[in-house]
Amino acid sequence: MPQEKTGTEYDDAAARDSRQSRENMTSAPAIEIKYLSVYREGQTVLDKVSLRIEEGQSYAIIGPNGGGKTTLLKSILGLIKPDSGCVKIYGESPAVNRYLLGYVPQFHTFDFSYPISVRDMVLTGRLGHIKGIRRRYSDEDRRCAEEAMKTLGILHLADRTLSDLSGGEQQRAIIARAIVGNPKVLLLDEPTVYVDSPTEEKFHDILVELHKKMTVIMVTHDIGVISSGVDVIACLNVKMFTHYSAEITSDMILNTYKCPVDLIAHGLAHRVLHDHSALESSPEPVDTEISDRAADGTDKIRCGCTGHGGRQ
Amino acid sequence: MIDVASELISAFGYEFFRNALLAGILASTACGIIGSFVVIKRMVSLTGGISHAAFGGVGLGYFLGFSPILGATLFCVATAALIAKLRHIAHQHLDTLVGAIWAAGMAIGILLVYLTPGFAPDLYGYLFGNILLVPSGEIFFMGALLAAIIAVTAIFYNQLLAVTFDEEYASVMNIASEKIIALLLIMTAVTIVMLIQVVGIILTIALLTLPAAIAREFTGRLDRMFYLSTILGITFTTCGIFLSYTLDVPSGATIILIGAAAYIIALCAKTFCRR
Repeated sequence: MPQEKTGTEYDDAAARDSRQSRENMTSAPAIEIKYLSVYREGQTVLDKVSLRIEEGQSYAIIGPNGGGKTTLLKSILGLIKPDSGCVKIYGESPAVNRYLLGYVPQFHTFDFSYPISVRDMVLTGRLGHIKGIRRRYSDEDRRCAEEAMKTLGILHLADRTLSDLSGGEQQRAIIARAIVGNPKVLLLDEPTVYVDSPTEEKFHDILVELHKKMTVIMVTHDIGVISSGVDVIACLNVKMFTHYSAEITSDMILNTYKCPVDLIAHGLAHRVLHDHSALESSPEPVDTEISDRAADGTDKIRCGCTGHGGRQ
Repeated sequence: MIDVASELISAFGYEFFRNALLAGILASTACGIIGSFVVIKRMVSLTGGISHAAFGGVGLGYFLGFSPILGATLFCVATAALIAKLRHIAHQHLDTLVGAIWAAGMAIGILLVYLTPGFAPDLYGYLFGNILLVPSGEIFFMGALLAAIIAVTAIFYNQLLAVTFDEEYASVMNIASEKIIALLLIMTAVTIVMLIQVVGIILTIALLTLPAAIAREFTGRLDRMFYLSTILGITFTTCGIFLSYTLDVPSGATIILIGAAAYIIALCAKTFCRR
């Protein structure tokens, strides 16, 4: 990736940059996005999205499929060039500071049949820290890999082939790869899509544990996965709706999903939704599905509207 | 039986036969490495496009009067570089574009061979391969190419592994993913040039994919896949050369049929073991 430092007075610029960078590290928010717009094949994917995530926050972004959640994450990672607006990681461009990020991509994007051991796969998460043309792993890298696998409880699987693991174990391996570089910010894209109920509980514990060490940003269309540990919930459907609170309001949902949605809250441990009574005054739900909580016992939001990317 | 054995032993006395075995070993080793990447990265159709575009280069060689294999090298490397560029522009249309390159390469070759005055010697050999006709000079050329492939793979192994497993994540790790993929495609092109001598343009895909596909069924590590598919490739080519020599049938087709048979047996064995 090309770095953005050009110019003749390189020494001056570098000195100023490093000074600035030191200042920014202390004052700048972990992630700052200003008026970010992304267009794809004539369609607006993100429309002037602004966002400020402070260090140590746990941030959840919800929205329908096709609402631009993955695009937003990839913009933060510098994988997608914004058409306008800018993204800053600790005050610097993604190309400069993305080594501070850990990334858990969507599960279905992986080819889990790839012939690789869990250990080697986790080690690839260290490559961002390694210089030199050969990018050889040091003992330190190997120690970090073991530590990351230990944190996720998969150290005993280190020398197994990735394809031999169960879905939940594979997911933990992918999270281990994301944290092996000791990131300051962890980005998770739809982290619970393939996780079944028993592992979901564990998954919450893992997230809570990781949040003690780093800023966590999670995007999902499944409100049920957002635990009470989340500081801020934002809604994204091309535009961003942030309320800087950890509660989802029916207004937010209405704005995001573009149709009234029946919110059903269950259980207390992971409550993020209002009581039913609070929502009964909301407009008459149009063609909404009632989620069956018996299946997984978590809070669910379902939207029956087609054409808005609601859950099918 | 004794006749056949003594005939084979006496065959070692001929330089062309030793050259054929050597060429088989060199090409199979390149295939073991590059073929593994082709199979796990699902680049079989890309590889087909590159190898068939080589025929355009063969035609150019005949037409302008230089070595057809040099023409093939130029066309293969140029096509690989073009595909590496197009991958990012074309996205889902890549498959169609590769098809176009595939056919256009062949068409250029056919036209240029037609326009070349007189007779085009060995044309059949470039299409279907004739390992028993590989000259000594060509062996050194193949050896140099193989040494380059091994060196590049060893140096960039960690990056190749990361990029072929998860290209986007490798980019986040500040690896120049696009350049690594371009490097891999160019190494594929170089391997194809080596294979044209052995099995010919039409059959290169088979020797690149069959040994690696079998190896993949039996190992869960990329490096072990290299070794296993190299051994398999050497076995196929050596057996193929002996068989084609004793039965006096085309060598390229014999090698591929042995490989295909082994693949089917391996799949059956794997299914049987799972039960």
